[in-house]
Amino acid sequence: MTTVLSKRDVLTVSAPLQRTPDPWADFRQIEIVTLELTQQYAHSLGKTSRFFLELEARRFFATRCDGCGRTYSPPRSLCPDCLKITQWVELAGTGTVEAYSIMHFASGINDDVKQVELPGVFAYVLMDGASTLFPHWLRCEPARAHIGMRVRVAYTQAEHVQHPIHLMYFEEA
Amino acid sequence: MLHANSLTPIQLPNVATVVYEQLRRQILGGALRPGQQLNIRQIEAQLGVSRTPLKLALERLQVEGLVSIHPRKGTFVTIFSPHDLRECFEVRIALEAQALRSAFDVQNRALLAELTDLFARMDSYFRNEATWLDELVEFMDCDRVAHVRMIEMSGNARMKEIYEHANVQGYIAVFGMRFSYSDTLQTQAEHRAIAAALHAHDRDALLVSARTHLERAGLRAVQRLSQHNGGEL
Amino acid sequence: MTRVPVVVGVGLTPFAANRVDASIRDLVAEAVLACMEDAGLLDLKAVQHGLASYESDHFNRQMTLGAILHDALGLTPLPNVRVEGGGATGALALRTAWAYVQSGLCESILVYGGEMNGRSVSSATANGLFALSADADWEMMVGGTYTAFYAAMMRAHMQRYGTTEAQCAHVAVRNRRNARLNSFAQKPMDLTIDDVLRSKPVAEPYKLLDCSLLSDGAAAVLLATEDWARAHGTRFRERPPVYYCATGCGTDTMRLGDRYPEITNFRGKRAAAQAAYAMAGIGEPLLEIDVAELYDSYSGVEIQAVEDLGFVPAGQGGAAVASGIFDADGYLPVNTSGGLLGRGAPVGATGIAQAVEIVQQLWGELPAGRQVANARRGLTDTHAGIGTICVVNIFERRD
Repeated sequence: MTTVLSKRDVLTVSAPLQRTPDPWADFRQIEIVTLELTQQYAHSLGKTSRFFLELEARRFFATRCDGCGRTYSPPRSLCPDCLKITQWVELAGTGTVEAYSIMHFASGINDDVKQVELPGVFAYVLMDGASTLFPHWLRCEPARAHIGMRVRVAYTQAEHVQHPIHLMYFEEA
Repeated sequence: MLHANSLTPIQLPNVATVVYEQLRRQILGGALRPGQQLNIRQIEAQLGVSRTPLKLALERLQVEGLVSIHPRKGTFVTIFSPHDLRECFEVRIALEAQALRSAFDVQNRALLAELTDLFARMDSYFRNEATWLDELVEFMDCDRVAHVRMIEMSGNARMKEIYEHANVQGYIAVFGMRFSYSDTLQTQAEHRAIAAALHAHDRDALLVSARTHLERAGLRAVQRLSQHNGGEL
Repeated sequence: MTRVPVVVGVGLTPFAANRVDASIRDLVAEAVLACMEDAGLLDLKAVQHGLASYESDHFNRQMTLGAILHDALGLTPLPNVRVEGGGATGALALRTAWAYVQSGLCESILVYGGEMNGRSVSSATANGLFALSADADWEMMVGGTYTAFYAAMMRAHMQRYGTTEAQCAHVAVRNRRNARLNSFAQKPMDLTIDDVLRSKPVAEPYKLLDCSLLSDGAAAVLLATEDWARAHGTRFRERPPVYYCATGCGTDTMRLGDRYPEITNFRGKRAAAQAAYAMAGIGEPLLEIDVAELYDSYSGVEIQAVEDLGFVPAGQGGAAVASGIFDADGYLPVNTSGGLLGRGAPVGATGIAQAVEIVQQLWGELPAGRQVANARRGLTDTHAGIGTICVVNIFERRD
C-alpha cells in the first residue's frame, strides 16, 4: 500500500529564522524519501445510485420532497428541511446557468476529469423544475458562458467514461 | 440630476431656487473654491439670469454659511478653519444631545421611522463611481435632514433657532464634500448604532452612540480639512 | 471569579512553502517552545490539558497525529483531544478550548496545531486532496475543486452587486504588502493592482495572485483562567490581560448549489458573527472592533467576509475594500499579518495563527507600521469549505 519509490535526497539546510546560536544546529542534516500511497475502495453510491443508473438510459432524475415541495438536483434521499424521505422525479434536462468559472486547470481526480478540455467552463445550473444548482462541466466556447445562459444535459457513451457522473455534461441549449 | 461641475442656462420658473442649487453644488463640489470672490456679472451671464434671483440665491447661501457677503468688497466663498470646525462640533454635541433627550421621551418611534428611512436612502448611494460627487451631495443632504429632524423633534423652537444661527450645517456640508467612501461607511455604521439604540428604546445607548458619532465626525472633519487644504479650507 | 479564558502565551513557526528540515512533529514542537518562552512558562507539565489541531491525515501522512504530537511534546499522561473542522480547524480548536476552560474541565489548555500543506506533494495532488474535503460523490468526481467553487461564487457576487476584479486585486495587493512587515510570512510582495489583474488566470475571475498559499507551519496558544495564568505565566503580569471573550460558530450546506438562491455570500459566517457579537455585547462591529484577521483564502473572499461580518452592508464590500478602510492605515485594519494570501495557510495552524496576530496586536507588541494604535478588541474569522463551517473568535484587552 505504501511504496518507497526512492531515497530521494540528503541535504543540509539552514535555519529558517536567523537565530544565534541556532538551537537546532545539530539537526540540520535532513533525509527525504519519496513515498507513494495507493488505495482501492469498493465505494457504494448509496441511495442516490439510481441517478447514475438513469443517466445510462439518458434520463435525468432528481428527488422531490412531498413535505416542502423542494426538488433536489443533485438528488438528496432525505430532505434536509423536513427530514422526510424524498421521491424520484424525472426532469426535462434543461436549465439555466446561475454561476460559473472558466477553469484553466482541472483536478486529476479521475481519467474523465483529466480529459476535460481547458480552459473549460465549470457551471452551476438550475435545472428546470429543480430548487438547487447542479455543478458540472459546460462544454462551450468559454467566452460564450454567462449567468442566465440556457443549457441542457448531454449524454456520453458508458464505455467512454470511468465514473458514472461523467455519463453527462452540459451543452448550450 | 444636476452635474456638480458645470453650469447650464436656466429656463425654469423658480429661478432663484435653481440658481441657489447650482451655486451650492459648485461650492460643495469644489468648483468654486473657499476664499474665491464670486464674479457676479460673469455668473449672471453664464446662467442667463438677472440680478434679483441671483441676489436672493446668494442671501440664502449666506444664511447657510457657504458664502460671506461684504458690502463694497464683494461676495466670497466662506473659508473654514479646523478651529471653526471644532467649535462647530462642540455646539452640535451639546445641542443634539439635549434635543435627543427631549425627542426620546415623546417622539421615539416617529424619529426612528424617519431616521430609518433616511439611513436606508444613504445606504443606496455610491453604486456607481461616475455619479460619486452628485450622490455625495445627496448623501450629505440626507445627513443634514437627519440631524435637523433630531433637533426639530425635540419640540424646542429656540433650540432650532440657535442650531440654525450657529450655522453648523454649512460647515458640515463643506467638510462632507471632502469625504471619502470610507468616511461614508463609518458615518453609516455610526448611524446604524443610533438607530439600534432607538429601536431598543435604550436612552443611555442612544446618547452614547449619538455623542460618539459627533465626536468621530468631528475628527474626520478636521482630518479631511487638513488633508485637502494643508490646514486651511 | 470569571472563567473567561485569558491568553497566557502564543507561539508560531515561520510559514514556508517547504520546510524540508522538519516533520510535522518538529514544526509543532517549535511553535510550542516559542509559546512557552512567550508565556514565561517554566514547566510545560503544569498545563492541565492538550488540544491538537490539524486537518488532514493525507497531507501529514499520519493518522492519530494528535496522540503523536502530544507524546512528542512530553504531555503524556495529561488528557488530550483532537479537533478537526476543515479550514476552520484552528479556530474551532480554540473554541473547543474555550469551552473546556469555561466548563471547569481544566484551568489551562495548550492548543497546538500545524499542517504540512506545502511542497511535499505536487500542487495537482494538493488540489486533489483538498477536493476530498468537498462532496466526494458529486462535486469531487465531476472534477470540481475549491478554487472553482469560490470562483463561481465570486462570479455570482459580481453579477449581483457589480463587484470588480480590481476590487478583489486590492485585497491581494494589500495583504501581501502587509506581509512585508512580518518576518514569519511566506509571501511578502510589493505588487500593483495591474500585476494581479495580469497574472495567469487560474479559475476566472480569479488569477494566480488572487489565490492563497500552500504552506508548512505550526502555531500554539496557551489559554487559562486568570488565576492559573497569574500563578504560572511569569510574563502574565507584565502585559495587559487579553481575554478570549467571545466565540461564535455557524454552518451551511456542503455543496454551494444546495444554498440556492443564496450563493453570493456566507450564511454560516453571518450566524457565527451574530453569535459572537451577542456574547461580546457588540452592536456595530465596524465601530467596536479595532483589528481583525479575515479568512482570505481567495482575494474576493475577504470582500464577502466584510459583508457577512456586518462591517459594511451586503454588496458594499468591494467598494469598501477599495476605499482603503481596511488597509493598515485605515479605519479598521484587517490582515495585518498578511493573511492567508501573504503570511500563508498551513490549515491546522491558520486559525490559531490568526489569533496570535490579534493577541499580539492587543498586547501592543508588533512593529511600527503593523501595530494598530490603541487596539482593544480584535476578531478572527475562519471558515472551512466555502463557508461550510464558520468560526468567529473575539479577543479583548481589559486593563
